Amino acid sequence: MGQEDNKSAQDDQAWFDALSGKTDTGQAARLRNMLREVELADAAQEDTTHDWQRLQFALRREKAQPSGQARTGLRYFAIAASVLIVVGTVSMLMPKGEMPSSSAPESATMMRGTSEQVIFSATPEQDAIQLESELVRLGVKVVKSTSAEKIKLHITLSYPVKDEARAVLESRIIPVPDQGDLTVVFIPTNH
Amino acid sequence: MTETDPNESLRRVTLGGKLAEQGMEQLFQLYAARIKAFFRHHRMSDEEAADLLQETFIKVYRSADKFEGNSKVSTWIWTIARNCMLDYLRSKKTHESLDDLLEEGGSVEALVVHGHEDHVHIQDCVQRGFIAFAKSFPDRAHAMRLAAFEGWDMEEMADFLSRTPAATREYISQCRKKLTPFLEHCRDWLEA
Repeated sequence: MGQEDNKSAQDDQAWFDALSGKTDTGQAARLRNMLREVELADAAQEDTTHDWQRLQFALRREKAQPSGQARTGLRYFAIAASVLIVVGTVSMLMPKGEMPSSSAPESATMMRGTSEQVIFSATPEQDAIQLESELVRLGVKVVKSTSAEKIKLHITLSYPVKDEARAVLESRIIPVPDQGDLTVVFIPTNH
Repeated sequence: MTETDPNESLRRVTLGGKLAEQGMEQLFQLYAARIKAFFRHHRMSDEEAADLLQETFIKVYRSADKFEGNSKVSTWIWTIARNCMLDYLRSKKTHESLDDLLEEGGSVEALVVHGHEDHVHIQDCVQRGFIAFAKSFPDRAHAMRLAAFEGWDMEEMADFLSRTPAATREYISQCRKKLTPFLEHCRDWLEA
């Protein structure tokens, strides 16, 4: 490496040190202050309220599911069955139509009269087909659409939602909306 | 007001239960808006940016116990975010190469569409110059923003970019060279 290259490498390092705040002189330090302002101003324009709600639901699903690929059909069935038992028991003990509100997850975000729920899955196609078939079997209208890698199930709900249909959704930690239809979006994960 | 320590937030995530929820919320508040803006600057639609944000934080949640503290939490989270986006871009298999998407000829909408023209300092020559630079080199512009905001050193930048230290030094050198013409007209600033 020549002297000139050395000097250039040193200049680059000094420039980067100033940019990242390790030194506080020169143009790069002034540029740093401006970039920090830009970064904050840019972030201030992003509304992530809906994103946080979506994430909360997704995290609940994470907690409810065994980790990784270990989710076998049997385990999945066991979770669904236990939720069914709980829902069934509660509905037997409660007077008709008085499900305790605390048992339902927080209200889903309503968009154009439709609640949307996102499910990240290693097997989105399989999960979507399974949910679709279970709901159709119960007489619920489901329209499936695919865009890019996402699979959407538009579920037309009639109220009051049947306990069986509710159980199918809640076994997947999909909150049943108080009104309107429901769209469930299955997104593949890279796991 | 006490500042949230991302290390403590991440530790809470590993503890599970309510603490994990608190930890996730703190990390989300610290990084989500900026990460979403990062995705937008790389030509992601609203929907794509929102989905990638979800995937990023799901991965943070899943991998929290694998964080070994060898880097800053910020580097770790930003690397996850960037990798989510790169995986997505690869999966799209667009006619453009990944380099095209990340480098030269990047988003013409970067920064400007998010209202920086209205920003109080928009008249500032340097800011205008940087906005123009970001239009042409969105990935480089964002890497510089992160270095400035997070205070990363060269090694942390290398982690984020998934490059070797030598390749990162060259990348930074090129950032500096490519930025220079955009700021040349800012004589007052250059001479200050």
